[in-house]
Amino acid sequence: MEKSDLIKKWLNHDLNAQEHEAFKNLNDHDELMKINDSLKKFKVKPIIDREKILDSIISQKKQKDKPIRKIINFSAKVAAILLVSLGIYKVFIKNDITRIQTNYADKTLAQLPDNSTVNLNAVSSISFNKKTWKTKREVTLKGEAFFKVAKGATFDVITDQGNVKVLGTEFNVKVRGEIFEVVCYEGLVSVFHKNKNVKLSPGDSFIAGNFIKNNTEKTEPSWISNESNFISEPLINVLKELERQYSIEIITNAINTKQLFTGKFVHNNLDLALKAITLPLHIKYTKSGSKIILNIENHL
Amino acid sequence: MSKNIHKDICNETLFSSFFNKHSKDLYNFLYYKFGDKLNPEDKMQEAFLKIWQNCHKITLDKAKSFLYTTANNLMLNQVKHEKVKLKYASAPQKEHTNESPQFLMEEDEYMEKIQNALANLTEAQRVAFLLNRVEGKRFKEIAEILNISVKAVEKRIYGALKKLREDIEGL
Repeated sequence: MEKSDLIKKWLNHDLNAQEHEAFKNLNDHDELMKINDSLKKFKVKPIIDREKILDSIISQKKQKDKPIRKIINFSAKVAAILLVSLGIYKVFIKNDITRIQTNYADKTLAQLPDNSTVNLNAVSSISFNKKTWKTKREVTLKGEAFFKVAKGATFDVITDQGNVKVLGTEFNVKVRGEIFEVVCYEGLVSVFHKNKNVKLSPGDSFIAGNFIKNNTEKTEPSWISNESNFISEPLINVLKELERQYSIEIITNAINTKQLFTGKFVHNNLDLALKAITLPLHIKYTKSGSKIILNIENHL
Repeated sequence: MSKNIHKDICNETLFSSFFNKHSKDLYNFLYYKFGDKLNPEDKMQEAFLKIWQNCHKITLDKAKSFLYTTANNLMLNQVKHEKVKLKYASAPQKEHTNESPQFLMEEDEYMEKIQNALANLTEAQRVAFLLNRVEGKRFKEIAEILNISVKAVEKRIYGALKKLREDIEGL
Protein backbone atom coordinates (compact mmCIF):
# COMPACT_ATOMS: atom_id res chain seq x y z
CA MET A 1 0.00 0.00 0.00
CA GLU A 2 1.15 3.50 -0.79
CA LYS A 3 2.45 5.55 2.08
CA SER A 4 0.01 8.35 1.47
CA ASP A 5 -2.90 5.90 1.47
CA LEU A 6 -1.70 4.48 4.75
CA ILE A 7 -1.49 7.92 6.28
CA LYS A 8 -4.94 8.81 4.99
CA LYS A 9 -6.32 5.63 6.54
CA TRP A 10 -4.65 6.52 9.80
CA LEU A 11 -6.16 9.99 9.65
CA ASN A 12 -9.59 8.48 9.14
CA HIS A 13 -9.10 6.13 12.15
CA ASP A 14 -9.50 3.30 9.72
CA LEU A 15 -6.36 1.12 10.00
CA ASN A 16 -6.77 -2.59 10.54
CA ALA A 17 -4.25 -4.55 12.61
CA GLN A 18 -2.03 -5.42 9.68
CA GLU A 19 -2.07 -1.92 8.31
CA HIS A 20 -1.37 -0.58 11.76
CA GLU A 21 1.81 -2.63 11.85
CA ALA A 22 2.81 -1.27 8.48
CA PHE A 23 2.06 2.25 9.64
CA LYS A 24 4.28 1.79 12.71
CA ASN A 25 7.15 0.81 10.46
CA LEU A 26 6.93 4.00 8.39
CA ASN A 27 9.93 6.23 8.92
CA ASP A 28 7.45 9.09 9.36
CA HIS A 29 5.72 7.35 12.20
CA ASP A 30 7.53 9.04 15.07
CA GLU A 31 7.14 12.49 13.61
CA LEU A 32 3.44 11.98 12.95
CA MET A 33 2.94 10.75 16.49
CA LYS A 34 4.72 13.73 17.91
CA ILE A 35 2.60 16.14 15.90
CA ASN A 36 -0.50 14.22 16.82
CA ASP A 37 0.22 14.33 20.53
CA SER A 38 0.97 18.02 20.41
CA LEU A 39 -2.22 18.75 18.53
CA LYS A 40 -4.27 17.23 21.32
CA LYS A 41 -3.27 20.18 23.45
CA PHE A 42 -5.23 22.47 21.17
CA LYS A 43 -8.47 20.95 22.31
CA VAL A 44 -11.17 23.48 22.96
CA LYS A 45 -12.46 23.80 26.48
CA PRO A 46 -15.71 21.89 26.61
CA ILE A 47 -18.96 23.73 27.21
CA ILE A 48 -19.75 23.23 30.83
CA ASP A 49 -23.48 23.68 31.07
CA ARG A 50 -25.26 22.90 27.87
CA GLU A 51 -28.51 22.15 29.69
CA LYS A 52 -28.58 25.65 31.08
CA ILE A 53 -27.99 27.14 27.65
CA LEU A 54 -30.82 25.09 26.20
CA ASP A 55 -33.17 26.14 28.99
CA SER A 56 -32.35 29.77 28.52
CA ILE A 57 -33.06 29.51 24.80
CA ILE A 58 -36.36 27.70 25.21
CA SER A 59 -37.56 30.11 27.86
CA GLN A 60 -37.12 32.99 25.40
CA LYS A 61 -40.36 34.08 23.95
CA LYS A 62 -41.03 32.95 20.44
CA GLN A 63 -41.85 35.66 17.97
CA LYS A 64 -45.44 36.63 18.25
CA ASP A 65 -46.87 35.58 14.96
CA LYS A 66 -48.81 32.64 16.29
CA PRO A 67 -52.23 34.19 15.51
CA ILE A 68 -51.27 34.50 11.85
CA ARG A 69 -50.47 30.82 11.79
CA LYS A 70 -53.89 30.09 13.21
CA ILE A 71 -55.57 32.11 10.48
CA ILE A 72 -53.52 30.32 7.86
CA ASN A 73 -54.47 27.03 9.45
CA PHE A 74 -58.11 28.01 9.40
CA SER A 75 -58.09 29.06 5.78
CA ALA A 76 -56.13 25.93 4.91
CA LYS A 77 -58.90 23.88 6.51
CA VAL A 78 -61.59 25.72 4.59
CA ALA A 79 -59.65 25.21 1.37
CA ALA A 80 -59.22 21.53 2.15
CA ILE A 81 -62.95 21.07 2.77
CA LEU A 82 -63.77 22.85 -0.48
CA LEU A 83 -61.30 20.66 -2.36
CA VAL A 84 -62.69 17.48 -0.88
CA SER A 85 -66.28 18.42 -1.69
CA LEU A 86 -65.24 19.34 -5.21
CA GLY A 87 -63.59 15.95 -5.49
CA ILE A 88 -66.74 14.18 -4.27
CA TYR A 89 -68.81 16.21 -6.71
CA LYS A 90 -66.50 15.23 -9.54
CA VAL A 91 -66.48 11.55 -8.65
CA PHE A 92 -70.13 10.94 -7.82
CA ILE A 93 -72.08 13.54 -9.69
CA LYS A 94 -70.21 14.66 -12.76
CA ASN A 95 -68.74 11.29 -13.33
CA ASP A 96 -66.38 10.45 -16.16
CA ILE A 97 -67.07 13.28 -18.54
CA THR A 98 -63.78 14.47 -19.96
CA ARG A 99 -63.77 17.91 -21.45
CA ILE A 100 -61.00 19.50 -23.48
CA GLN A 101 -61.20 23.08 -24.61
CA THR A 102 -59.09 25.73 -26.28
CA ASN A 103 -59.02 29.46 -25.80
CA TYR A 104 -58.50 32.36 -28.15
CA ALA A 105 -55.27 32.08 -30.16
CA ASP A 106 -54.84 28.54 -28.96
CA LYS A 107 -54.86 25.11 -30.59
CA THR A 108 -54.40 21.73 -29.06
CA LEU A 109 -54.03 18.08 -29.94
CA ALA A 110 -56.13 15.74 -27.81
CA GLN A 111 -56.02 11.99 -27.59
CA LEU A 112 -59.16 9.93 -27.13
CA PRO A 113 -59.17 6.66 -25.15
CA ASP A 114 -58.82 4.53 -28.30
CA ASN A 115 -55.86 6.50 -29.68
CA SER A 116 -58.02 8.47 -32.06
CA THR A 117 -56.69 12.01 -32.16
CA VAL A 118 -58.49 15.31 -32.29
CA ASN A 119 -56.91 18.60 -33.34
CA LEU A 120 -58.85 21.42 -31.72
CA ASN A 121 -58.86 24.83 -33.40
CA ALA A 122 -59.10 28.03 -31.35
CA VAL A 123 -62.17 28.57 -29.12
CA SER A 124 -63.44 25.02 -29.41
CA SER A 125 -64.24 22.22 -27.02
CA ILE A 126 -64.91 18.52 -27.08
CA SER A 127 -66.30 16.33 -24.35
CA PHE A 128 -66.69 12.60 -24.12
CA ASN A 129 -67.52 9.92 -21.58
CA LYS A 130 -64.54 7.77 -20.69
CA LYS A 131 -66.56 5.04 -18.98
CA THR A 132 -68.87 4.23 -21.86
CA TRP A 133 -66.23 4.84 -24.52
CA LYS A 134 -65.72 1.15 -25.22
CA THR A 135 -69.31 0.58 -26.20
CA LYS A 136 -70.18 4.00 -27.56
CA ARG A 137 -67.64 6.24 -29.26
CA GLU A 138 -69.33 9.61 -29.02
CA VAL A 139 -67.83 13.09 -28.91
CA THR A 140 -69.70 16.32 -28.40
CA LEU A 141 -68.12 19.18 -30.32
CA LYS A 142 -68.39 22.93 -30.16
CA GLY A 143 -66.28 24.93 -32.59
CA GLU A 144 -63.92 23.36 -35.09
CA ALA A 145 -61.90 20.18 -34.92
CA PHE A 146 -60.04 17.77 -37.19
CA PHE A 147 -60.57 14.12 -36.32
CA LYS A 148 -58.33 11.18 -37.08
CA VAL A 149 -60.40 8.23 -35.96
CA ALA A 150 -58.86 4.87 -35.23
CA LYS A 151 -60.56 1.90 -36.88
CA GLY A 152 -63.33 0.31 -34.87
CA ALA A 153 -67.02 0.62 -34.18
CA THR A 154 -68.97 3.67 -35.31
CA PHE A 155 -67.75 7.02 -34.11
CA ASP A 156 -70.22 9.85 -33.61
CA VAL A 157 -69.62 13.57 -33.46
CA ILE A 158 -72.57 15.38 -31.92
CA THR A 159 -72.94 19.11 -32.57
CA ASP A 160 -75.68 21.68 -32.19
CA GLN A 161 -76.11 21.82 -35.96
CA GLY A 162 -75.98 18.18 -36.93
CA ASN A 163 -74.29 14.88 -36.37
CA VAL A 164 -71.48 13.06 -38.11
CA LYS A 165 -71.13 9.30 -38.13
CA VAL A 166 -67.98 7.52 -39.27
CA LEU A 167 -66.01 4.29 -39.20
CA GLY A 168 -62.31 5.07 -38.88
CA THR A 169 -61.38 8.00 -41.04
CA GLU A 170 -60.10 11.57 -41.14
CA PHE A 171 -62.40 14.54 -41.32
CA ASN A 172 -62.86 18.13 -40.22
CA VAL A 173 -65.99 19.47 -38.54
CA LYS A 174 -66.67 23.17 -38.13
CA VAL A 175 -69.56 24.50 -36.07
CA ARG A 176 -69.55 28.26 -35.65
CA GLY A 177 -72.94 29.80 -34.95
CA GLU A 178 -75.07 28.93 -37.96
CA ILE A 179 -72.16 27.54 -39.90
CA PHE A 180 -71.89 23.79 -40.16
CA GLU A 181 -69.15 22.40 -42.35
CA VAL A 182 -67.81 18.90 -42.70
CA VAL A 183 -64.90 17.99 -44.93
CA CYS A 184 -63.89 14.39 -45.45
CA TYR A 185 -60.19 13.63 -46.03
CA GLU A 186 -60.17 9.83 -45.84
CA GLY A 187 -62.68 6.99 -45.54
CA LEU A 188 -66.40 7.52 -45.52
CA VAL A 189 -68.36 10.06 -43.50
CA SER A 190 -72.10 10.21 -42.90
CA VAL A 191 -73.53 13.66 -42.15
CA PHE A 192 -76.95 14.17 -40.60
CA HIS A 193 -78.14 17.73 -40.94
CA LYS A 194 -81.75 18.95 -40.76
CA ASN A 195 -83.30 15.60 -41.77
CA LYS A 196 -80.77 15.26 -44.57
CA ASN A 197 -78.32 12.38 -44.67
CA VAL A 198 -75.35 12.87 -46.93
CA LYS A 199 -72.43 10.50 -47.48
CA LEU A 200 -69.04 12.09 -48.09
CA SER A 201 -66.13 10.37 -49.82
CA PRO A 202 -62.54 11.65 -49.56
CA GLY A 203 -62.31 15.19 -50.93
CA ASP A 204 -66.04 15.83 -50.55
CA SER A 205 -67.40 18.62 -48.40
CA PHE A 206 -70.69 19.44 -46.79
CA ILE A 207 -71.00 23.22 -46.53
CA ALA A 208 -74.03 25.28 -45.58
CA GLY A 209 -76.45 22.43 -46.08
CA ASN A 210 -75.10 21.49 -49.51
CA PHE A 211 -73.09 18.57 -50.71
CA ILE A 212 -70.03 19.65 -52.70
CA LYS A 213 -68.15 17.00 -54.64
CA ASN A 214 -64.38 16.80 -54.63
CA ASN A 215 -63.55 20.40 -53.80
CA THR A 216 -60.39 19.66 -51.87
CA GLU A 217 -57.26 17.70 -52.66
CA LYS A 218 -55.60 18.30 -49.33
CA THR A 219 -55.05 15.61 -46.73
CA GLU A 220 -55.83 17.81 -43.75
CA PRO A 221 -57.50 21.19 -43.14
CA SER A 222 -55.28 24.22 -43.65
CA TRP A 223 -55.66 25.45 -40.07
CA ILE A 224 -53.61 22.47 -38.89
CA SER A 225 -50.65 24.10 -40.65
CA ASN A 226 -51.53 27.51 -39.22
CA GLU A 227 -53.48 28.99 -42.11
CA SER A 228 -57.15 29.73 -42.59
CA ASN A 229 -58.57 29.28 -46.11
CA PHE A 230 -61.82 30.76 -47.36
CA ILE A 231 -63.73 30.36 -50.59
CA SER A 232 -66.49 32.90 -51.21
CA GLU A 233 -67.01 33.33 -47.48
CA PRO A 234 -68.89 36.34 -46.04
CA LEU A 235 -66.34 38.75 -44.57
CA ILE A 236 -67.95 38.62 -41.14
CA ASN A 237 -67.06 34.94 -40.80
CA VAL A 238 -63.49 35.60 -41.87
CA LEU A 239 -63.11 38.36 -39.28
CA LYS A 240 -64.57 36.14 -36.57
CA GLU A 241 -62.01 33.47 -37.37
CA LEU A 242 -59.29 36.11 -37.25
CA GLU A 243 -60.49 37.18 -33.79
CA ARG A 244 -60.33 33.59 -32.61
CA GLN A 245 -56.83 32.97 -33.95
CA TYR A 246 -55.23 36.13 -32.55
CA SER A 247 -57.33 36.84 -29.45
CA ILE A 248 -58.19 40.35 -30.66
CA GLU A 249 -61.33 42.39 -31.10
CA ILE A 250 -62.24 43.77 -34.51
CA ILE A 251 -64.39 46.84 -34.87
CA THR A 252 -65.77 47.62 -38.34
CA ASN A 253 -66.84 51.08 -39.43
CA ALA A 254 -69.25 51.33 -42.34
CA ILE A 255 -67.96 48.19 -43.95
CA ASN A 256 -70.13 45.69 -45.77
CA THR A 257 -69.36 42.56 -43.79
CA LYS A 258 -71.53 40.45 -46.06
CA GLN A 259 -69.26 40.83 -49.06
CA LEU A 260 -67.58 37.61 -50.05
CA PHE A 261 -63.92 36.93 -49.42
CA THR A 262 -61.74 34.32 -51.09
CA GLY A 263 -58.23 33.88 -49.81
CA LYS A 264 -56.33 32.88 -46.72
CA PHE A 265 -54.50 34.31 -43.73
CA VAL A 266 -51.70 32.97 -41.54
CA HIS A 267 -51.95 32.39 -37.79
CA ASN A 268 -48.51 33.52 -36.72
CA ASN A 269 -48.21 37.06 -38.08
CA LEU A 270 -51.05 39.46 -37.35
CA ASP A 271 -49.91 42.21 -39.72
CA LEU A 272 -49.53 39.81 -42.60
CA ALA A 273 -52.94 38.31 -41.85
CA LEU A 274 -54.61 41.72 -41.67
CA LYS A 275 -53.04 42.77 -44.96
CA ALA A 276 -54.14 39.58 -46.64
CA ILE A 277 -57.74 40.34 -45.75
CA THR A 278 -57.88 44.12 -46.02
CA LEU A 279 -55.80 44.88 -49.13
CA PRO A 280 -57.98 43.09 -51.69
CA LEU A 281 -61.11 44.66 -50.18
CA HIS A 282 -59.67 48.21 -50.01
CA ILE A 283 -59.97 48.42 -46.28
CA LYS A 284 -57.67 50.37 -43.98
CA TYR A 285 -56.81 49.01 -40.53
CA THR A 286 -55.50 50.73 -37.42
CA LYS A 287 -54.36 48.98 -34.26
CA SER A 288 -55.05 50.20 -30.74
CA GLY A 289 -54.05 47.73 -28.06
CA SER A 290 -55.83 44.44 -28.65
CA LYS A 291 -58.46 46.17 -30.79
CA ILE A 292 -58.28 46.49 -34.54
CA ILE A 293 -60.38 49.15 -36.23
CA LEU A 294 -61.33 48.71 -39.89
CA ASN A 295 -62.28 51.67 -42.07
CA ILE A 296 -63.01 52.11 -45.76
CA GLU A 297 -59.93 53.33 -47.53
CA ASN A 298 -60.26 56.93 -48.72
CA HIS A 299 -59.19 57.50 -52.23
CA LEU A 300 -57.77 60.98 -52.45
CA MET B 1 -43.33 8.49 0.52
CA SER B 2 -41.80 9.56 3.80
CA LYS B 3 -43.54 12.34 5.60
CA ASN B 4 -42.22 14.56 8.31
CA ILE B 5 -44.36 14.26 11.37
CA HIS B 6 -43.35 17.73 12.44
CA LYS B 7 -43.59 20.38 9.82
CA ASP B 8 -41.25 22.64 11.79
CA ILE B 9 -39.08 22.42 14.86
CA CYS B 10 -41.29 24.41 17.25
CA ASN B 11 -41.89 21.31 19.30
CA GLU B 12 -39.83 21.59 22.50
CA THR B 13 -38.69 17.99 22.65
CA LEU B 14 -37.73 18.09 19.03
CA PHE B 15 -35.78 21.30 19.49
CA SER B 16 -34.00 19.92 22.57
CA SER B 17 -32.88 16.83 20.72
CA PHE B 18 -31.76 19.02 17.84
CA PHE B 19 -29.79 21.15 20.29
CA ASN B 20 -28.19 18.15 21.97
CA LYS B 21 -27.23 16.65 18.67
CA HIS B 22 -25.61 19.70 17.14
CA SER B 23 -24.51 22.13 19.85
CA LYS B 24 -21.14 20.48 20.55
CA ASP B 25 -20.24 20.07 16.89
CA LEU B 26 -21.25 23.63 16.11
CA TYR B 27 -19.22 24.94 19.01
CA ASN B 28 -16.14 22.98 17.92
CA PHE B 29 -16.62 24.10 14.35
CA LEU B 30 -16.81 27.75 15.36
CA TYR B 31 -13.85 27.47 17.68
CA TYR B 32 -11.52 25.79 15.21
CA LYS B 33 -12.59 28.15 12.48
CA PHE B 34 -12.57 31.47 14.27
CA GLY B 35 -10.60 30.84 17.44
CA ASP B 36 -11.82 31.93 20.85
CA LYS B 37 -11.55 35.68 20.46
CA LEU B 38 -15.06 35.98 19.08
CA ASN B 39 -16.60 33.90 21.79
CA PRO B 40 -17.83 30.79 20.00
CA GLU B 41 -20.01 29.73 22.90
CA ASP B 42 -22.07 32.90 22.69
CA LYS B 43 -22.41 32.61 18.96
CA MET B 44 -23.49 29.03 19.26
CA GLN B 45 -26.17 30.06 21.73
CA GLU B 46 -27.29 32.97 19.60
CA ALA B 47 -27.60 30.81 16.52
CA PHE B 48 -29.79 28.30 18.33
CA LEU B 49 -31.88 31.14 19.71
CA LYS B 50 -32.46 32.47 16.19
CA ILE B 51 -33.63 29.04 15.10
CA TRP B 52 -35.94 28.82 18.08
CA GLN B 53 -37.43 32.25 17.45
CA ASN B 54 -38.03 31.47 13.80
CA CYS B 55 -38.86 27.83 14.41
CA HIS B 56 -42.10 27.77 12.44
CA LYS B 57 -40.26 28.79 9.30
CA ILE B 58 -37.71 26.01 9.61
CA THR B 59 -38.23 22.34 8.92
CA LEU B 60 -36.11 19.75 10.66
CA ASP B 61 -34.24 18.77 7.52
CA LYS B 62 -33.32 22.39 6.82
CA ALA B 63 -32.48 23.25 10.42
CA LYS B 64 -28.87 22.07 10.43
CA SER B 65 -27.70 24.06 7.46
CA PHE B 66 -29.68 27.04 8.73
CA LEU B 67 -27.90 26.71 12.08
CA TYR B 68 -24.40 26.60 10.63
CA THR B 69 -25.04 29.42 8.19
CA THR B 70 -26.50 31.59 10.93
CA ALA B 71 -23.62 30.96 13.31
CA ASN B 72 -21.06 31.55 10.59
CA ASN B 73 -22.70 34.83 9.63
CA LEU B 74 -22.88 35.95 13.24
CA MET B 75 -19.14 35.46 13.46
CA LEU B 76 -18.43 37.21 10.20
CA ASN B 77 -20.62 40.13 11.17
CA GLN B 78 -18.65 40.86 14.24
CA VAL B 79 -15.19 41.66 12.98
CA LYS B 80 -13.06 41.48 9.97
CA HIS B 81 -11.17 38.32 9.76
CA GLU B 82 -7.88 38.12 11.57
CA LYS B 83 -5.40 35.36 11.64
CA VAL B 84 -6.59 32.77 14.07
CA LYS B 85 -4.13 31.64 16.66
CA LEU B 86 -5.42 28.81 18.75
CA LYS B 87 -4.36 28.38 22.32
CA TYR B 88 -2.86 25.23 23.60
CA ALA B 89 -2.95 23.88 27.09
CA SER B 90 0.44 24.01 28.74
CA ALA B 91 1.62 20.76 30.21
CA PRO B 92 0.71 20.36 33.87
CA GLN B 93 3.44 21.69 36.05
CA LYS B 94 5.15 19.02 38.03
CA GLU B 95 7.11 19.81 41.10
CA HIS B 96 9.79 17.38 40.23
CA THR B 97 10.78 16.61 36.78
CA ASN B 98 13.28 14.29 35.31
CA GLU B 99 13.38 16.15 32.09
CA SER B 100 16.26 18.36 31.37
CA PRO B 101 15.74 22.11 30.98
CA GLN B 102 16.84 21.80 27.40
CA PHE B 103 14.14 19.29 26.66
CA LEU B 104 11.50 21.51 28.20
CA MET B 105 12.63 24.45 26.16
CA GLU B 106 12.62 22.44 22.97
CA GLU B 107 9.17 21.22 23.83
CA ASP B 108 7.94 24.80 24.19
CA GLU B 109 9.52 25.81 20.92
CA TYR B 110 7.92 22.88 19.20
CA MET B 111 4.46 23.82 20.46
CA GLU B 112 4.94 27.33 19.21
CA LYS B 113 5.95 26.03 15.82
CA ILE B 114 2.77 23.99 15.63
CA GLN B 115 0.73 26.93 16.74
CA ASN B 116 2.12 29.08 13.97
CA ALA B 117 1.79 26.33 11.43
CA LEU B 118 -1.88 25.90 12.35
CA ALA B 119 -2.43 29.61 11.92
CA ASN B 120 -0.93 29.36 8.45
CA LEU B 121 -3.39 26.73 7.29
CA THR B 122 -6.42 27.88 5.37
CA GLU B 123 -9.57 28.14 7.39
CA ALA B 124 -11.12 25.20 5.57
CA GLN B 125 -8.06 23.04 6.17
CA ARG B 126 -7.77 23.95 9.82
CA VAL B 127 -11.40 23.24 10.67
CA ALA B 128 -11.41 19.85 9.01
CA PHE B 129 -7.96 18.94 10.30
CA LEU B 130 -8.62 19.80 13.93
CA LEU B 131 -12.06 18.22 14.01
CA ASN B 132 -10.27 15.11 12.82
CA ARG B 133 -7.13 15.17 14.96
CA VAL B 134 -8.37 16.80 18.16
CA GLU B 135 -12.01 15.77 18.27
CA GLY B 136 -11.23 12.39 16.73
CA LYS B 137 -13.97 12.61 14.13
CA ARG B 138 -13.92 10.42 11.05
CA PHE B 139 -13.97 11.89 7.54
CA LYS B 140 -17.61 11.01 7.09
CA GLU B 141 -18.72 12.83 10.23
CA ILE B 142 -16.78 15.92 9.21
CA ALA B 143 -18.26 15.79 5.74
CA GLU B 144 -21.71 15.89 7.34
CA ILE B 145 -20.85 18.83 9.54
CA LEU B 146 -19.29 20.86 6.76
CA ASN B 147 -21.77 19.72 4.16
CA ILE B 148 -19.07 18.68 1.69
CA SER B 149 -18.03 15.35 0.21
CA VAL B 150 -15.90 12.78 2.04
CA LYS B 151 -13.31 13.08 -0.70
CA ALA B 152 -13.07 16.82 -0.13
CA VAL B 153 -12.61 16.26 3.59
CA GLU B 154 -9.83 13.79 2.94
CA LYS B 155 -8.14 16.27 0.64
CA ARG B 156 -8.36 19.07 3.16
CA ILE B 157 -7.06 17.00 6.03
CA TYR B 158 -4.25 15.35 4.14
CA GLY B 159 -3.29 18.71 2.64
CA ALA B 160 -3.30 20.25 6.09
CA LEU B 161 -1.02 17.53 7.49
CA LYS B 162 1.38 17.94 4.62
CA LYS B 163 1.54 21.69 4.98
CA LEU B 164 1.90 21.44 8.73
CA ARG B 165 4.87 19.09 8.44
CA GLU B 166 6.57 21.30 5.89
CA ASP B 167 6.06 24.34 8.10
CA ILE B 168 7.42 22.65 11.20
CA GLU B 169 10.52 21.43 9.44
CA GLY B 170 11.12 24.70 7.67
CA LEU B 171 10.76 26.95 10.65
